[in-house]
Amino acid sequence: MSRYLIRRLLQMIPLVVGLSVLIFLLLAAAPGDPVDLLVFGNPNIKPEDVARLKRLYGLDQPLYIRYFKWLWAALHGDLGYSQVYKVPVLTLMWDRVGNSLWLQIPAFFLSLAVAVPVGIYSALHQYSTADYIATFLTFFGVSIPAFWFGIMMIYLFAVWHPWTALPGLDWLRLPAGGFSTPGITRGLALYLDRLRYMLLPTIVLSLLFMASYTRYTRSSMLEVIRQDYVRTARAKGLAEQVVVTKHALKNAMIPIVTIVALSIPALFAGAPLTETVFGWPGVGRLLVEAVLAADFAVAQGIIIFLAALVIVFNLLADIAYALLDPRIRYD
Amino acid sequence: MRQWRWSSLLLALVVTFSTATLVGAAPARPATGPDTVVLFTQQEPSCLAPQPDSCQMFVAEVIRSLIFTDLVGMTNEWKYFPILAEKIPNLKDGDWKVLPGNKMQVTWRIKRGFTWHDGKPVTAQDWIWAWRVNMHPDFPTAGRDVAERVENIVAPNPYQMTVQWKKKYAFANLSAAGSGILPKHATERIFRQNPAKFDQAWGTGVPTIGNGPYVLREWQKGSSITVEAYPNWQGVPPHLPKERGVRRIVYRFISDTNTIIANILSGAADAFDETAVPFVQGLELETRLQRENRRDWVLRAEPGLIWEHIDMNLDNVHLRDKRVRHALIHAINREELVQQLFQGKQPVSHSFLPEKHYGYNRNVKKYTFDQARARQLLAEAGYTPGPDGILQKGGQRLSLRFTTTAGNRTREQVQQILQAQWRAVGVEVRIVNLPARAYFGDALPRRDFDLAMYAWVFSPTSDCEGLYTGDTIPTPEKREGQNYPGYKNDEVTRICHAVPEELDEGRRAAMLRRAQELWVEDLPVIPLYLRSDYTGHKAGLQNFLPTGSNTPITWNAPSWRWAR
Repeated sequence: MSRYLIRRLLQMIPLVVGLSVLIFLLLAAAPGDPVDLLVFGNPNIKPEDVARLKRLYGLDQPLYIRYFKWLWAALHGDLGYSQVYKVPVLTLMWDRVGNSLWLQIPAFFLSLAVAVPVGIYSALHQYSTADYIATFLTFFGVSIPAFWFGIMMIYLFAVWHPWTALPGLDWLRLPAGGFSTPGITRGLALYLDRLRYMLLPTIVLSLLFMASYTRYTRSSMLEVIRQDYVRTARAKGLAEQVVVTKHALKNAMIPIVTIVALSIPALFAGAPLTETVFGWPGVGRLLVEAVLAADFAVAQGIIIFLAALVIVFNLLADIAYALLDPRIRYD
Repeated sequence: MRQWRWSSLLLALVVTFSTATLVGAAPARPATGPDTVVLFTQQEPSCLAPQPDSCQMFVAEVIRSLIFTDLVGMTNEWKYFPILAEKIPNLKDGDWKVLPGNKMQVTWRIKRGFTWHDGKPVTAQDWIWAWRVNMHPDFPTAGRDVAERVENIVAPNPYQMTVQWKKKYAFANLSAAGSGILPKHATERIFRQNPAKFDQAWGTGVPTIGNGPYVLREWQKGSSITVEAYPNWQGVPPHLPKERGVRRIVYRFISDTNTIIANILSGAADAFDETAVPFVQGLELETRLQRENRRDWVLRAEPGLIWEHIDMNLDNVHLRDKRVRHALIHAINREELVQQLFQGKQPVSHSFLPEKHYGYNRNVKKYTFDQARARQLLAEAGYTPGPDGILQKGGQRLSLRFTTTAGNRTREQVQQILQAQWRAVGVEVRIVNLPARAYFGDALPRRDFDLAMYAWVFSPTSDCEGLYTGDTIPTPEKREGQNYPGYKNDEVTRICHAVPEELDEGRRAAMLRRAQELWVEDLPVIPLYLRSDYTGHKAGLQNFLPTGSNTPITWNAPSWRWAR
């Protein structure tokens, strides 16, 4: 196992470097650089000023020199400066990853809390009315575009909110996007305020997670409850609850755990559409804005960070798999 | 009985919800309180320093004008008024002089009593410092068009300065040296440490020391900026009074237009500026508010200085012929186009200058929609119909490549309408659109188009130098200059170079009128329309006045107030 781990860790190095070259080339291949975009639309800027700015930002140098300069700085923990936000990329990225986690973690746990019991119930009562309803809702969750659902939620809870005419329900009038109320910066008030802003995007995000986790749980459980050892447990006369929890569920959870582990990097990646619709300053929205504004350093930093996370969590999922399933061994 | 109870409950719910919907329209009262205005906008500024290019996005200017103030301001009627200057210098009073050798000097007298937000007085040294910063070779700015014209600035005392100009410049009495103002005491050390990274080191958060009516109080990156009234602000009535109606202004950044509109409808926004809601969505919002008979919001579409047009590449074998260019403009119905697409709220333009510009030529030739005339002109140019109905000449079909920015819904709609109208006179137009970055970064500088639709952003002092001067045509080898059509008319070139140095506004306007006359006759470009910007505010907010220029709506923020 340890040799396997060392081999995998060593393999990660060329993989991350290769990815960084690929990402650098892809971003550089896009026509126009930040200076070109800056200059356009302003008829008063002279060609010599454009040349001076390109020299100043190092954009006049060959691509390979720019890459090696970036790589050298990155190895020293410097991913560059954001041209748009005027802060180091790392600082900006950590702030935004933190903001994204505010949404992603509650959405993740909420979806698990709903999806696993619903998936199990659905599998145990296959083709029942409850199963049909659960299946319909999961297909709804998988098929519905996040931005549309987000807008509908905003309309319902922030614009229309007919229930607020009823006494005591005014708190159900929620903010139509944003991160927090300006001026509230600390203490319990900040967390309560943040909670109100989180509610709608968390629901939208969790619906997306929920739908796919329910489907996985249901199909995994259906597969397990048809196994011989479950039939044997029932034949032994064990209580149905014991059969389900001790014999079926434990085994059905193996693929679920793997899928959940593999989706953890996505938590750090934020949710570009949901964050954009709700004006949430997360890392997903930052990535989209960085690409649109030709803020290369930021786009590159985020993509490489996410790529590295995917590689690491793939490795962790492989290890978890071996720990959960005694049939799997890495030599 | 049971059935009756259920139906009663249902009825009660329906009545409650319908009533709620009717009264659910956001009231015209402030979102957070009578001393605060909450504005929503799509973009967030990178930084607030006055000069670096990276801080020049319009929304930065909007917020900067709350925190900083300068010698001269401009009203919504495009009238200049002194703010920190005691008066605007002029040739008649002798504080603006023309010297031998075509040089000039302008003397400014500065009002006493105005201070930076840390209490230090605003003096002439702060303008001199801003100019020196702007001119430093390592400073990241390309906006030196005006600053480079200045030879030196001397200050005999803290409240007087004389700007020495290398050559004549028509707008020398609108700013000290086109570089804004910087607190020397607070920025000198930071700047000297690393001039190239000054925009990263100062003006990117709290504290950013300004000298305007409001102090930057909070900047939550990615979320909001809050400014509060500066208690030592001296005031410049009537537009910038000492006693401010609203003491706090909050700018919230939401990049999605639909979410901004939801905030407007829900009452969470008190107002929105030019950067918040694109024209088409603004029009839809206005229509919706009218349909719902809501009087709690006031929306306004103000034609601005963004000019949509179609450049014609004069190197193209067909477009080289003036008759073909005239035929193309006669073949399209621009009036109908702006009526159908924009309900007439984005007016047709007839020249490269907007109507509000001091040099606009009202008598310029106006090309009407006349397809018979278009066909006649094309016939005169030697074109005959080919087997597929497309005109041809010497075996070459009159087929043109029409480009614009891909994904811009409005431009794509305009393209389709124009394509059909040109097809009706036998001109084939092939639409080939590119993403904005490829278009502006590559295709236009290479002049790789036959017809190119995009916009220029003008200012009240803009002219034609650089755009239509014969010596600013970019070539494939040397992508310099912005005369993308490749227009060359010696008289226009001469006028456009001379305009910025003509000090007399009357003569300058006459020169611009002549340049427009020639340009419209030569027609290197099809003028389409002037873009309008939507702004809006709750009915109770007073003095919220868009300017329709590059002076932001916050120009008179100290006079905003809520009706009692």
